[in-house]
Amino acid sequence: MDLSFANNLFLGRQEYQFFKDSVKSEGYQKALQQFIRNYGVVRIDTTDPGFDYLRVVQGSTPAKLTIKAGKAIDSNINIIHVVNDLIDKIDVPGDSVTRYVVIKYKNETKEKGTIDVSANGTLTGNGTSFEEKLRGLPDFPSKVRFPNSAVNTGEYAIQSITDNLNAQLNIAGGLMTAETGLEWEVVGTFTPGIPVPNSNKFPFKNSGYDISLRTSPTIISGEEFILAEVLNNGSTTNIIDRRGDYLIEINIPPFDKPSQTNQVIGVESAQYNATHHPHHTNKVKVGWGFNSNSGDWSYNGAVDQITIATGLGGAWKSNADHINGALDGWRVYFHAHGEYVGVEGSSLSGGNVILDLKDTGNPVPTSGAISVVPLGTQIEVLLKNASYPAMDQSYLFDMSESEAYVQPAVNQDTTITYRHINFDRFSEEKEINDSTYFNETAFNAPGVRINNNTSNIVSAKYTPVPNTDNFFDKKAWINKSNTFEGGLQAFDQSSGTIDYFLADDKITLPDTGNAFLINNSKFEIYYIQDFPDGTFISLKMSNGGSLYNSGGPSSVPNGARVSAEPTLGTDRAQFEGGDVLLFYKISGVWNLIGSRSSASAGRRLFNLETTLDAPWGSIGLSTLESVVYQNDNSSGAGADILLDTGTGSQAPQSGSYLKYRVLGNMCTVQFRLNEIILTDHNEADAASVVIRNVVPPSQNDFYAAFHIHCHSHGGVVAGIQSVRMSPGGNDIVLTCKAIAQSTTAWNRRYKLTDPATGLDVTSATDVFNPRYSVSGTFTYEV
Amino acid sequence: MAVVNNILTEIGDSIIIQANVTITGLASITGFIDDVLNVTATRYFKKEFRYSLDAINWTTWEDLSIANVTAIPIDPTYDFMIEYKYTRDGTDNTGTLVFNNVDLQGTYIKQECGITFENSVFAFFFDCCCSQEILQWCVSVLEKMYKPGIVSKTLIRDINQNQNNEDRDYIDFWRAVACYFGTLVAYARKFETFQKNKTLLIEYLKQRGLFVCEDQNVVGLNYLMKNFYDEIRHRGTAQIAIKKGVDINGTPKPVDGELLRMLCYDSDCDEFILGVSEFDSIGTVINSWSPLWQGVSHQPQMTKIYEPSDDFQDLSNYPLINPGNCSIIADGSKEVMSISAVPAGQKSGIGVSDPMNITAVDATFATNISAEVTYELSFYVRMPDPGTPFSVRLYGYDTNNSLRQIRDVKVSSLMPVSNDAIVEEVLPLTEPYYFVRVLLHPDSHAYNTDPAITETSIGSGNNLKSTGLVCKIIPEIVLDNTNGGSVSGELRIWGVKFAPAFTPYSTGFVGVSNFVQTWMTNNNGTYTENQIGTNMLKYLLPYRSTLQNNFV
Repeated sequence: MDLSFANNLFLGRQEYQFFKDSVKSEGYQKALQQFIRNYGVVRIDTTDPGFDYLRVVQGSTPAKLTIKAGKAIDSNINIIHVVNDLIDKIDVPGDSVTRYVVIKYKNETKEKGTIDVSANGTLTGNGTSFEEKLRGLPDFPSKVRFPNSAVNTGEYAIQSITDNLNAQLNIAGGLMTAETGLEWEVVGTFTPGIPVPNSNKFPFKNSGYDISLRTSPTIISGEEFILAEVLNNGSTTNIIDRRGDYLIEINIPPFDKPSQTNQVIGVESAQYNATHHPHHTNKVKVGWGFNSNSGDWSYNGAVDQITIATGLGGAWKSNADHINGALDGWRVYFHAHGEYVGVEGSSLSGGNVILDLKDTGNPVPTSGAISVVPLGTQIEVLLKNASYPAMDQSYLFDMSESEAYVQPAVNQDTTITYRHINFDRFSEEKEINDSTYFNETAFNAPGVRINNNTSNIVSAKYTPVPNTDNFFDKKAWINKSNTFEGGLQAFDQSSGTIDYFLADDKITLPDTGNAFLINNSKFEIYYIQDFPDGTFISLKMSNGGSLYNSGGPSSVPNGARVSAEPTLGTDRAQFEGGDVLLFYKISGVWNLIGSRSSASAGRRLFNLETTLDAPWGSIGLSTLESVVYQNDNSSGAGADILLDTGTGSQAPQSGSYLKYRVLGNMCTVQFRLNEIILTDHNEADAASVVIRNVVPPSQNDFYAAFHIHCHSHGGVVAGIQSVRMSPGGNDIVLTCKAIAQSTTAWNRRYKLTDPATGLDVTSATDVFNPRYSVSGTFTYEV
Repeated sequence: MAVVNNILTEIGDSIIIQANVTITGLASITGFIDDVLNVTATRYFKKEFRYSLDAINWTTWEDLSIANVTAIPIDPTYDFMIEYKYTRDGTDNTGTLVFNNVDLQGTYIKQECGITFENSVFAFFFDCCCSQEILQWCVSVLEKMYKPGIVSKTLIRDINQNQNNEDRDYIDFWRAVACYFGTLVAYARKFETFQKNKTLLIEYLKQRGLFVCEDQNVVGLNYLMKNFYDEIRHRGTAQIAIKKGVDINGTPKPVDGELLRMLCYDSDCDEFILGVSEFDSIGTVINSWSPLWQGVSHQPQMTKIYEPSDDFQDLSNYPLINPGNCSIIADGSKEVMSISAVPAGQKSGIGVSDPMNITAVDATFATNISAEVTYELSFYVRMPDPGTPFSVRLYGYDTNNSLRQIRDVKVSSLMPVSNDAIVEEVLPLTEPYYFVRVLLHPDSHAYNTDPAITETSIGSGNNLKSTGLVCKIIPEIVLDNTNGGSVSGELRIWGVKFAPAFTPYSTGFVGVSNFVQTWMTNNNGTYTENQIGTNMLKYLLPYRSTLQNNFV
């Protein structure tokens, strides 16, 4: 709405009111209303970081309430402005009745300040602004009224204004009575001799407010706001802040509905995320746009048309898959400048996909890749397995990306669905289109496709292909380059100590960087095999020939340990006639303890230089395996850590798995998510914590990690001595290493603390909710 | 023998009285009455008459007697004419006989001329198709057509002077022809001396484009005819609203200005204000004018009395009570009227000494008002000497300058008449000029208690209302020492104005130039109020004027 001004147009109250409405109630008010979802208290973190605006606090006595200064905006876009704190504004009756402090906007006709009036009509203001609101002679004088006066009850014209604090009434003698502290209102200046309804008087509508104390929470939505809920029991007043229910919030204007269907979206490929993952979290590439590389399309500006000679994306593996009209209403993103143009129509013609574009009036790039994607800002890709609803996943991608990777958490069939999103508007959830895709075996570890192996998406289900090298398939090898870099040596010639041993039945060094380098050797791949307790180390050539046998070091309890340098030194010469044997560039070790042939044959010794800034990977233990891990960097006794799943009757149930990960003085234990009971103290082994009733996970279970630290009450790192399955296979016994301070204090116990809050949760309950993801810290108190 | 005028001196002297009027429509004759002087038994008139029923053929002379005249075989359709012969008779030859008049008595039926005549242009000039102006020419020509000389004698007539109506057909035929042409001739003769014909003169002036009132006298119309171009020249100037007497240049002028003429303005009682609002009195002008404001204050051209300026210029422009106590003095930048040294029991200032019976001179200070309009009397007043009382009153008069009732608007209509608005009021401070506004509400205004209606601008006294017969007022603003001490203080008055209080519309116009407002009465039945407005804009006001008429 608008008011047209024209010559000869009479401007009367109606026209001015209409003009005002067009600017205010039908103008900026209505415009602002479109952008405001909730009305209420203004919260500005920059100027009011403590959020004190209109906060209700106790006043000078418990029964009195003070309202802090602040602002609020109601649905009529009236600004409720409490300029100063309203000290002791409200008295709360001490009757234990819940009441509500409500504020609302009010047109205030009273002007600021008060007036003292003399008998001769002289006005003396206190805090007044006469010059801003009043007008005297010879202009058309204003009239004032004193609403709180009992004697000077008329409406008085202004004779003159001296300044903001002094004025004179145009009044005959003897008509005024001297008074002080009078409130005042501006009646206005109206045409003489014409009756004026009171509703038309007092044209100055100042922004005011009305604060009330009510027993009912019923309010006028958008116009009244509950600031606080209060209850005075006669001695104290309980104040519950309710401003949070009435905060002004900006509304997001509606946007176009996103595209409702997508005949393109589909799986393009799947890769292993990590070689040793148990075929979950594979990288599944989902494409929802139709893409064409630079040079594979052309643009005809005369008809605003794009011809795609070669394109693919999602379920569409080529132009031939195009369905006429499927891309109508979509957008073409030009990678050259990142902007898009709408598609009015799409068709397949002569093997080319033809896109009719909306005329933007601007040229579009003619080179660079393009992606034709649905109308929308984002796309949500959802991954679901009906057996594990708690493991549903949702991915959000920018629509313009055209394709992205998702990683199903379930290593089983995963149904993939999608929804288009345009700001806050969603399309209906639909399944992706069925199609073939390059499966996991078509890619090598770096993600380079090495063959054209494909699988099919059927009924929108993706089925992961297990990695033969995955963690559960008992693989372990040194597979990362540069493990030993910076001149680290497997052998310290000066001391003659063997610093690094690799423990496995077979260790594959896949590249020269991880090879044992032997001077002038033409061999690059070696085996270290036959590493049982107390046996010799031998190196054999890949052709089966023996390069080296370490000889016979003494047997070490719970593991094999080779530390006799002279022996190795002697043997060393056998490699190369006096050259040094180096473990070179090994930065990480993945270990799998393979099936043990006997109770004593499956133990392996790891020896990690703690100063080495190289992480160890997870250690997976199969049912009957154990790992001895030496991480003690000190010379103290008992420096080893033992991961022992036990043997015989102590072994976990067959087919069960536990996963341990030991990094320095920390151990991560992965186990099933149910039935975990912690006992905290007074175990036979005083320095142990027992995780009871661990149900060893099965192969397809999912794991929660439990980080365990051993350190003293004073913070002294104790280190983990051993983690093992208890007899019966249902408990995990963690044994922290003894430290000097603890030897005399036996009343030890372990405490589970929530790392998020720091609170001790052990004493509250020892039973964790099934499927509750637990992450805590055991603290070993001395 | 001598006949001098209507006096006969000797026996045998005769006087023939011809009624040069053809009477058509005479239904009957009941007698006659004559007026003669000096008749005695031996000195008297021998009275005879003859008549014609066709205005051509006459009877012989007969004695003028009731019996004879009533015996005339009259018919309303006849063209009746009669002649009288008064011959001195008797034996007394002394003295004189005087004939004054003779009236034939009878009944007359107005001849119906028929719709053709009534709808013709002739009806506008002639009351009747039997108008003498027509019949005289008609009869004259008819006689020529009847008597030998023009029409062949083969058409037999005039054998027996139509004694038995034997020539009736002939006469009627030629009478119709002759009267038709007689009508044309009489009509043409009207234009020979149209300046003597008010109707034609008015029409002449109208057709030339001047606005005149139908009631304008011939003298005024002739003035306009002679000063036509001068009148045209006056358009677009204030001369259009100058009342007759002298014009704006002091030149005698027997007619009102053209706008007043168009209104048929009655100077005795009609309200008339023509004012051009100044640029700061329309639209939106900060602190000067508000678009929704309907007041008329501060517009000099709307001021009716007595000087347009706020400063006093000449006290002779004002009616004064005890003028010896009044003077114009400078008070700062103001030229104000100072009233001082008023003895106890007296008052002095603006007003007339005896408002109950105003003199002709007093009446010249009365200003016309309309009982339908609210007026405001306003002025600024200062009281250098504390406690000096002043009073404000309004006196109303009718068209005959007789005092008429003014009432207090606040009280019941049954309450006594009150001319008092403010009575012996004092002001609290001596320095400032207080603004005093007294409203005179219209007769139709209900009695009221709303302060907006009843209160004066200083909160004291009361506003007034006029009554129906009031059409002019004289204000009174005086230092009122009627009940005071021996010598009063001083009262200073400035900016005396009397004007309509407000308009029934606001002036929130945009882009308006020459905004003209009027308060006036339309007495001219020729024009509607809309037509008057249209004529004003088209002919009388300057180009691009915007007009708002308030007809009262």
